[in-house]
Amino acid sequence: MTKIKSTESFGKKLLKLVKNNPVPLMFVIICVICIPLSGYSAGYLIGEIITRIARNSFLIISLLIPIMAGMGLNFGMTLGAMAGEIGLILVSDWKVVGIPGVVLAMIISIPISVLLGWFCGKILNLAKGREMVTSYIISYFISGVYQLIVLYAMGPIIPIKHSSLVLPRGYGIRNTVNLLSMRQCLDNLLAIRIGSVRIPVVPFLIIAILCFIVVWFKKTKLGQDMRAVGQDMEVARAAGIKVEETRIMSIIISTVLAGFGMVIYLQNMGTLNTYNSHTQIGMFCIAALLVGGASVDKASIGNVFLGVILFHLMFIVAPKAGMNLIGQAQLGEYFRVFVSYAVITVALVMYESKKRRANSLTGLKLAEDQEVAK
Amino acid sequence: MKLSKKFWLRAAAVAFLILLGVVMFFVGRQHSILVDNKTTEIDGVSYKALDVCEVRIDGGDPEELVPRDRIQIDVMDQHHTLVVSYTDANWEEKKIKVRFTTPVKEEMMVLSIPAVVAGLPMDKCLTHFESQAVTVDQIEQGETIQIDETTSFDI
Repeated sequence: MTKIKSTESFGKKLLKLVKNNPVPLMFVIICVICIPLSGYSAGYLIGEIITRIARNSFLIISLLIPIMAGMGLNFGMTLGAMAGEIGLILVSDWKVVGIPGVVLAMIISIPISVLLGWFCGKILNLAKGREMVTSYIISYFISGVYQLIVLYAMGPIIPIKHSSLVLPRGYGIRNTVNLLSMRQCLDNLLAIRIGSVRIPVVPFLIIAILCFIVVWFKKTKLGQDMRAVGQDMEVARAAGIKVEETRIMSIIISTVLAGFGMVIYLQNMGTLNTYNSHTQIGMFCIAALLVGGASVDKASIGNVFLGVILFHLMFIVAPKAGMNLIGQAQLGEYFRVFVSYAVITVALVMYESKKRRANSLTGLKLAEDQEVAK
Repeated sequence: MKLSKKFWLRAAAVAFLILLGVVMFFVGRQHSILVDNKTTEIDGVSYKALDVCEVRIDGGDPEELVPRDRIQIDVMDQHHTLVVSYTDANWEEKKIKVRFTTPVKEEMMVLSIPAVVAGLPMDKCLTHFESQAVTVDQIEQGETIQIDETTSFDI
């Protein structure tokens, strides 16, 4: 009898697990199928995953704070990415190299990120309840402004003197900026090798510090205010919290962190695609976070790492698996775009249906209570 | 008007970041030094190129130079140490160690090894270099800028 009971509870638990984590489980299944098909060794896969965790995690962690403040997935992180890129362009022109170059690019990105974050936060306060689509469109708007600055203002207004950066016409920045002078300078510093796997210690230390800061931040007054605002804006306002200010602050912090994250990302890549590097970064970071089991209103540091591992593992193995299966390596690229958009769509649909279900349950309960009262 | 503690903390943070940025600029500034082993004339006096010598800047890899050689060494920061090892006319091994500073503004400078070996002051040995050559970049015709999936234009 007891045995049957425990089996039932296990089945229920399993069902609950599947119901609560459909996206991560789907990715686990895809990866489990693709890994043997790809034929990659465990060492190679671990090495690649470690590199990608070091490269992407900082950017994804920048998304956690706006979620905490109830502003959903911050597509406006692209704004911070653009600030980071401007920092890197200027540093490349000034010939500041290595780790000082990376630090200086981060410092330059701060005022730009703060300004853009403040602007984005102000607009999002005017569009409460529609933050995600608004921030998505703001990112396109600011991308246009960025292109205008980089294409026309850099040279005549913002001095850029190196011909390797400036377009042949004399102003504007070239399509690609070479970051070889600072390529993997953080990754190579204190890097250790375990077997065939190289572990970039410094980026991991930076990410660990950021994780601790996020955990600590949740316990601060501002962090608690953000959580309160995220749960119910009206209750928070009644409690004396400056709701609008708190929301703007969360977007500013996220944008500044995204700027730092972009610098870390690009120093790892070693090349900056001036006009396109930032365009897809928000999409892929958000997709990775959702793959890790986060939702529009709830995300944790665990979701970040699980997301990076699963999302990027699929990117690594899918092209080779596609090649071995149907002779087309492009399958991986299709997967990359298709899955990113699909995951975001599924997450948004699930969030909306969950919200509606919760609303209807509340309505039913209210009706029941009224019946009882009669 | 009394300023709050919050204001002072923020001002201190901004000042710290500016200071850190300035330090990073000076520490990370890259200079290209063209190490030259050519017979040179300074203030009307001729200094003959060394038959063979080995130079090392800031403990980097040693580079061997023969007469008319010129190599480029990229360095960070403004304070550097140059070590020149050579064999003199009496077949005696000599090693010269000199410290020098590169001005922040200078991107590329020429360092004359014969002048260093002759013991001239560093401001005579280390001179500004301006590249006059037309690079491939400068004669390039144009570039196509792709700003998104649908828009691109030639510049």
